Amino acid sequence: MESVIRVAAVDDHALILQGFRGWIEEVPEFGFAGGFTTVADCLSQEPVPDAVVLDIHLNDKSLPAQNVRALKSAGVVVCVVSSDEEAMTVIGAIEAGADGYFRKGDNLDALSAGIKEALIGGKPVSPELAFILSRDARSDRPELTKREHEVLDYFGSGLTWERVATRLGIAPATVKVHLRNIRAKYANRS
Amino acid sequence: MTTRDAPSAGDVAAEPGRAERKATAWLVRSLALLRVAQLTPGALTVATSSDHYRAAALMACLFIVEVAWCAALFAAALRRGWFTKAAMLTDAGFQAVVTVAVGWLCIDGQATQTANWSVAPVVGASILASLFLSRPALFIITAGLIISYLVGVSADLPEHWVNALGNVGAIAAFTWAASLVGVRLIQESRSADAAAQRAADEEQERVRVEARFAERTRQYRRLHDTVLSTLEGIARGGLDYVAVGVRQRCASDANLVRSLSAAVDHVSDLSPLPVVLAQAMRDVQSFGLEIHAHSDRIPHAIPNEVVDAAAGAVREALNNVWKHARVDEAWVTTRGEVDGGILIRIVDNGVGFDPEKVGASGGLDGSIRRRWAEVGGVTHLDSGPTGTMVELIWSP
Repeated sequence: MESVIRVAAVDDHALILQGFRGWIEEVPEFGFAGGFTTVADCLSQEPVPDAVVLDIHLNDKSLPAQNVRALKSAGVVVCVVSSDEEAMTVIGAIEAGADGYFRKGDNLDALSAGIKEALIGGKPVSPELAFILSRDARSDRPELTKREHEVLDYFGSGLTWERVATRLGIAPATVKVHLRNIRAKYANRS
Repeated sequence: MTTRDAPSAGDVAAEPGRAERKATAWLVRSLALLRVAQLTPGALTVATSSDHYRAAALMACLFIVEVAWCAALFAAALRRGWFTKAAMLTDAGFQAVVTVAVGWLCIDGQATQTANWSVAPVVGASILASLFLSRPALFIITAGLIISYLVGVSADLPEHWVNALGNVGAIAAFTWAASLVGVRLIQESRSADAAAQRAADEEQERVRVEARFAERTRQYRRLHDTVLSTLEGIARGGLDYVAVGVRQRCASDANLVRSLSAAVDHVSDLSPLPVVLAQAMRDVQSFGLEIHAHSDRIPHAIPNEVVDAAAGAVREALNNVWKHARVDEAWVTTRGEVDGGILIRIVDNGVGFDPEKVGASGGLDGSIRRRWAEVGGVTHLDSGPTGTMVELIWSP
């Protein structure tokens, strides 16, 4: 990994791209690798970015899962963002291999922390993603344990790892293990 | 077997409507009067023409049994509002036996005359059958009754076959005419009930559409007062969109729009709860508290008082966060439960408090717990040094 993490943004709104540029340039470890309106444009750059902040819906009618797969196959860390919780689309993107999901309007510190975690092989779970996964009602959803459901339920409601751990009477590290296992169960479906 | 078997074959009788109930009640009363009218001449004949019978006492007993059966049949029908199919079939069988017996008990030459009082009840039984049975089944029952009559009068047939033929014609003709009138009457009543039901459904749909339209109008008004005015302010160039206040307002407006869109995610009808909660959150967010709102599968059939109580409780809980928790963000999660109820969680990761030390007059007890309990809700509170979680649970 280079000393500067090259982060690009893919979104079809110029204003949003401008906003992401401003945010990326404010993070000391990040360098702005460009703003693009399609995944194809993003991947046509040389070298490809280390990480991409990907709007879940693009106007070029591409499918979110398809975009995620294209970026992942190029070795790029993908954090999906959206304006609101379109649960099934988000789950589809996660199952296609997206490293994380964040809401556009949420804390950008969490997004940058998520990108950094993904770059070292982690699978960040934002409270927004936890909430969506906790409400996954598909009949063929990955089978989660009762404890994993509880962790998703409370973490998705905004409790910190520590508070989830206190509430369930387990160690904070165990909460992280549960979240990691949940992500693995969803990733194994891609 | 139901008491409402369809007179027109093939119809599946649902719970009868008002018009059908009136029609069948009218038919039962009419048939009862008809049977009384049919038996009255028989009573006079039995009482005054004992010389027309081989065994007058036995004939009188038979007539009394006939009257008793008819009384029981129509008493039950008047009580229930309609006949059972079993009662109808029993009546037909009973009258078949009676007409054979009465024919045999008449002396020679009287079986096809007025002394044979059984012809009238046979017509009544056949008319009753016509209201229940399809054409082929009715034909079989009526033919059975006619054959029974002919068996009873068989000794007189060679000399009085014209009279017998007249009675057979009367049985067939009355049955046919009654079948047309009775079945048409019930079919018309069912059509009237179906039309009334359609009108009621259309009225219900109209009310529902109006309610949705009113809710959407309220939402548009909220958007006009919030998001639109913010955007217009920026568009006019009168606002610096980088300024903290403007950005906070934009964040509040974005949350409002997000909550409104969540309201239509999983339900065909708009649920008022997400909209009302969004407004409550926006009120507190305008103070500078960042609120992360999640919602999922919120049932739309939540009573208005519960919606209002939820909005008040959430607003108060967020006010508490803003005033006491010393944090700048909070989470509000609203979700539908499998029993049709809702669960709302308000979470902050700030400075908590000791619930034991909070006075009964505090905001928690007064504005949240009591308000929520008044609509049948349950409040759970978990607070400690690392934050507070208020759970509002309501089940229908």
